[in-house]
Amino acid sequence: MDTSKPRILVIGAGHGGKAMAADLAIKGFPVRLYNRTYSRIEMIALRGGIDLEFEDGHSEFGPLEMVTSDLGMAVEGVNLIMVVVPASAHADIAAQCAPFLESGQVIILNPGRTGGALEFRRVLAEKGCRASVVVAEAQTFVLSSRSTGPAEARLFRSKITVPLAALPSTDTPRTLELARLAYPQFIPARNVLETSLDNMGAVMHPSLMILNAGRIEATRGEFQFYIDGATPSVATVLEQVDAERVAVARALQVRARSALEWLRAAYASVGDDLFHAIQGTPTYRGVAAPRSLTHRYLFEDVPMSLVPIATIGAHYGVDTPTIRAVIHLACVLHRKDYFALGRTPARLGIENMSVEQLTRYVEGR
Amino acid sequence: MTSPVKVAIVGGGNGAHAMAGHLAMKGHTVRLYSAFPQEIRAMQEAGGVFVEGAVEGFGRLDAVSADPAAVIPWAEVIMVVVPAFAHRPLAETLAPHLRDGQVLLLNPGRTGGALEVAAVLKRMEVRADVVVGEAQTLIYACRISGPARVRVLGLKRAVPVAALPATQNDRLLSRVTPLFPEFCAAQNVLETSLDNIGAVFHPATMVLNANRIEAGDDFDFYQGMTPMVTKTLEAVDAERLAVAQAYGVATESAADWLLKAYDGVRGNTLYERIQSNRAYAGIKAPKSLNVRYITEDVPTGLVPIAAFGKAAGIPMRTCEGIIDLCCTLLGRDFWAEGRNLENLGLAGMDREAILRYVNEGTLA
Repeated sequence: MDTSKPRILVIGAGHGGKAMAADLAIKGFPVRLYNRTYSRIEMIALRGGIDLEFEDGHSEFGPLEMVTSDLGMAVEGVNLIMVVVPASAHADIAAQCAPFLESGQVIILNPGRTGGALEFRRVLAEKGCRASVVVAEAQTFVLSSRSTGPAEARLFRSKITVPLAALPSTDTPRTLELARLAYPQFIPARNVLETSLDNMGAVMHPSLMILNAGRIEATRGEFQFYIDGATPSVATVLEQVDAERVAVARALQVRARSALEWLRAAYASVGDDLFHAIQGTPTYRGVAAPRSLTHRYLFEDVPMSLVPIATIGAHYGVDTPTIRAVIHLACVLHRKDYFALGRTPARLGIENMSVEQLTRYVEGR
Repeated sequence: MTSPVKVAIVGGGNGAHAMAGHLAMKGHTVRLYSAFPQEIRAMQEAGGVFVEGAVEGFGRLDAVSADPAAVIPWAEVIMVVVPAFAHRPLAETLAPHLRDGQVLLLNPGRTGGALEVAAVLKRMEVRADVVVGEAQTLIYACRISGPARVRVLGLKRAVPVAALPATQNDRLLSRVTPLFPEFCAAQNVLETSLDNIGAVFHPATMVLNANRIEAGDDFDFYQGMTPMVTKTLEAVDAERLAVAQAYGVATESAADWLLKAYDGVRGNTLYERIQSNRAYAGIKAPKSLNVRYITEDVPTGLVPIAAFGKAAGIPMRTCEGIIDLCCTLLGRDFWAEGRNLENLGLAGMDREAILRYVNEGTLA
């Protein structure tokens, strides 16, 4: 094994974590895989790794140096920790890691959703973590992948570029130096407010789920989520949610791209408004709707994306009525108080900061 | 029968046809006013309305006119049978023609109809002593079946009505029960207003099926009331019931209303009861979002329900969320154009002040 390569721990053995662990191992990195529930990784431990099927159909075996449910063992001596769990688990992972982290380790949330790095830092501080670690968040997950068996995964494609920022931004260069050994697609974002507020899932997913609720339940998702799901009036709701998100970013002195700009840049979509741009996005063709309303598009994207955008907005004087309406209907559908469960300025550790103080905090200057 | 009453029917749709024809058949003297000439041309030519179905016959009308002056000042009782979103502009049209001793009844008022009409009359400084009231629902289930022809599918057994203020209830009833013995007294207009089941069922189902409706999907409306959608209906209904309770008016839940209103409804949950209601089979979902399930039930249903709730300090988040999304979906400001406290003549009032106004007519 190549000893000049950084030792990487992947936390989380879901659709993303399994593919990433295998992919990194195939690339020659010494890789460990941690998952809280051992039964989910037992087969991987027995086989000593994961079979990864690539886009072109060929498969390779990614050997792992450790597969464990013991976080202390997993963390010890690694250089890079790739957290690949739902954002709702970030706080727990931070709390459990806190006693074991070593100075110099770099932690990247893949992705952070809205406020992942802020929350992770807040929990580490609260748990009295003294190690000097880097905490960073990616704007989206770098791979597009699925778990296809107990010790198998499939990699559809890697994203072309993925913005990443550390908290504070002064740590971004050294994070990138390490992370780009694994994925050269990582590019610097200005700060974690930018990665957090450039959250297109927050714009698209919950509103499409709510305005297609009856159809999803009645047809078990037998339609194309974006292409069929975004009719003109539905798209105006998405545009309104998006405008509120961009306004919150502006209040924090961050220039967030509009969903329309993002679609044009990421997918070369054509169209003058969001409705036509979505229709003109070939990547969305054939993407099926979720089969049920009990889906992470609501139970993750609402508390971890929309709630922080709305509550940060309220904190800094930006009204977000459409986002609040979508959150509230998600609360009703799931019978959960997502305002209470979700990320708020208090949970992100920024409730006493002015915009200037927040900017200084995230930029480290 | 009792002595004939001079009745003005205002409106030219299904309900107006049925009520005009039926009351004329009962021996009352009936004139009809509608601002839309195309709605009344056939009745003018026929000299009345052919009624079929649960009631059969021809009701001869004394006059059918697009001129309010030819109908309104003449009448003893004015029966308004138009969509609730038309109540405000209609009240502005009728105001100069009203005179002492008349009774004006909205069939139905939806939520806050009598309050809104009274607010318009006050704003326009109408001095005539007119009793304004509202019915909880339209007495008929009916459809226009041809030119000057209407099919009555059924008549409701009991229709609560109330006057504004409630001190005028007896006066209202004494004037309208000679037309329909089915009319019975509600406590006050809050009772007739808050029993708005359409406001519970329609807008939320529209929002949660917005895409499917706009895409023109062919499905029965009740099939859009899936288990999770029905949970939202329950949340809207719970807010409505909390408002009714805060104002001390008797209402039943939408689920219990279904049991009472329809035969053969089964089950314990709202979902089961909706799905077992055979009367809902075949009622197609609309093919557009720009329909009365939103354009009427939001501004004259959810908006005033939310306004009453807010005045009483009750959290109305589900209603507010549905209203906000309807505003965005249709690009309209239903909060401003709908029956907010100001349009109801209740600006700045809290629960106690509203109750005093509704019950006694006194302003704090």
